[in-house]
Amino acid sequence: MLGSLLDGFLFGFSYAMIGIGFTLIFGVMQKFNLAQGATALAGAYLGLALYRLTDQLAPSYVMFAVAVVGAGAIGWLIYQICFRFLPKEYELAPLMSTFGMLILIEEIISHLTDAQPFEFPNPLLYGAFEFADGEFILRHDYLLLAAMALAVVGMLYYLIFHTRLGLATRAVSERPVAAQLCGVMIDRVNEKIFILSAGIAGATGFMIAMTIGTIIPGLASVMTIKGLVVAVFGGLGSVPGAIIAGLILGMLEAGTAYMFNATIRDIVAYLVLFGVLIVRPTGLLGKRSLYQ
Amino acid sequence: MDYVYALVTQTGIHVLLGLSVYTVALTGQVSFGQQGFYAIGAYVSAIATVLWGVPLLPALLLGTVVSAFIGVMVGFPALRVKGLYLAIATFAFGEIVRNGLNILYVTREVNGIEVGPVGPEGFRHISYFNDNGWTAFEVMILVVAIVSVVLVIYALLERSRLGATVRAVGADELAAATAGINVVWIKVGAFAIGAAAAGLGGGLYAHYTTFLSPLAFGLSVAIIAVAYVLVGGLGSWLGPVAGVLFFLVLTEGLRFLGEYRMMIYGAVVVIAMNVRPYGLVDAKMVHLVKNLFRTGARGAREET
Repeated sequence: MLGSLLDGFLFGFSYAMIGIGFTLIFGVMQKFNLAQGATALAGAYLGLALYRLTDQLAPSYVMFAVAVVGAGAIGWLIYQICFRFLPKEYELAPLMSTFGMLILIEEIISHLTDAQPFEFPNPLLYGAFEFADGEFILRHDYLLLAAMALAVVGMLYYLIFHTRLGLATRAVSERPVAAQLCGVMIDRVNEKIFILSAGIAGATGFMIAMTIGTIIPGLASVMTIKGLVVAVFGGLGSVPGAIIAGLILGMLEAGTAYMFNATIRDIVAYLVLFGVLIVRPTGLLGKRSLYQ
Repeated sequence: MDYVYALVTQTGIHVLLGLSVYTVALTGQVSFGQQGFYAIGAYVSAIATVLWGVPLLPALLLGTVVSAFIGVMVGFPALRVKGLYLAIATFAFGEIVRNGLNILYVTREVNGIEVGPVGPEGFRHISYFNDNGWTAFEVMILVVAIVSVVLVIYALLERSRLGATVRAVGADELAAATAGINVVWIKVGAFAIGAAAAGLGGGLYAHYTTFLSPLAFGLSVAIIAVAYVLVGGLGSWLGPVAGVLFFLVLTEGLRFLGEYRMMIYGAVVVIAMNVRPYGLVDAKMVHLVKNLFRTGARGAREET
């Protein structure tokens, strides 16, 4: 039981990272990007493509870099196609355009891979620390996932509170009109945040594919749903909220799956989400002023 | 000909699904949970005809009423939540229903065969139409008749004071409340009507397909229902109808593309939102058309 909770906790960092991607974009634009899961998956597939094209010679860190950069580029494209030319104050239009993008990317990937699952190389496979005679197992790849999530958070913290871009980001998310009057180019800030969150998505997609060991196109919508749930649960626009929500969701799912089965796990997870939203309509750490 | 009958029947059912999202959207909220009501209506009315031997129309009515009732029960707490948060809260509701159906076992022996929902295996033998000798054409006529009645009700409601009130709440809740409108009542009412429309559609769907599976009520239904409304537009009840027709033409018209179909489908949705971000039938277009009919071409020119 405790072992599965621990696994859930560590895997929860991946949920947290996808959630952060959603929350960052919502923070500056008050919009959702449903194609986020597809971006993450596309990044992972780009990494895998490199691995296969180089006859499995490419080391994992190079694949990782390709995944992050590739996802960032795809994110930039999505911003140009699905957000740039749509009305700024209408948050429902991008919901549909990014949904179309989600299908498009998922289908392109299915087509290129003949919808076959692919094995994803995991250099840390079977590596684990064992405690108390195998009662607790800490998988190395889960630890790397958690470490990476913490690194991303640290980087974000530095970026948001210690750089000019961060200052502009905070200004745009608090008072967009005032920020614009002070000479902040809102489009540029949005674009940069978008690329950033897509890059994080690529890293997440890579890590998830690596820890699961196989990769299928269907993961795109699964990741989008988990990311949405985590971002909303934690409070849109709040990075700490997304982390807490991701970890809670990870443990909740692992715990209920251990005690019951996958169906009960999903019912409990969504009941908790529904309940939390009714008690706190803006999520765990969401700001009331942001949307209401 | 059966192909045409099937298309018309499915289109009618999906119009109900689109109207259900549309009703909630008029109050300024987006619901990704209408497939939950769709599922409830489908299961309830199918259980009524198959297990209890109730005739079709009372069974459909029962499914509609149960959906509306659950809509009120869910709507009251859920409408505290707003905007994109509500979209996710309602999606959570839909997923709770879908997963609940996975553990729903109500079986009984009727005429020597075991019938009723069997968890993830689904609900087979919903053979009301077959047992009573309905042809595909008659089923289509039934669906078209029901959908037409619903559309006429919507068209009348939209022109009524109630329609204006609902739109006022959608446009600005605070201003509507200041004008003396009971915002909570309107929002919960719209949610319940939306749930009823989805429940009715679900009941028709159940008897049309004869087989229900929890898998049929997942994210894809949630998104397509919202897509009907957002692509079709919120200007009038014709919006969701236009949305359903748009996707119908898209899915059927792209069949010749074979495996590339879904890819082009995604691309067309992206392009559609870029060209008409507020949907095909948006407020502006409704205004334009209304002016044409009201004062003729001269009046319309004077306005612009």
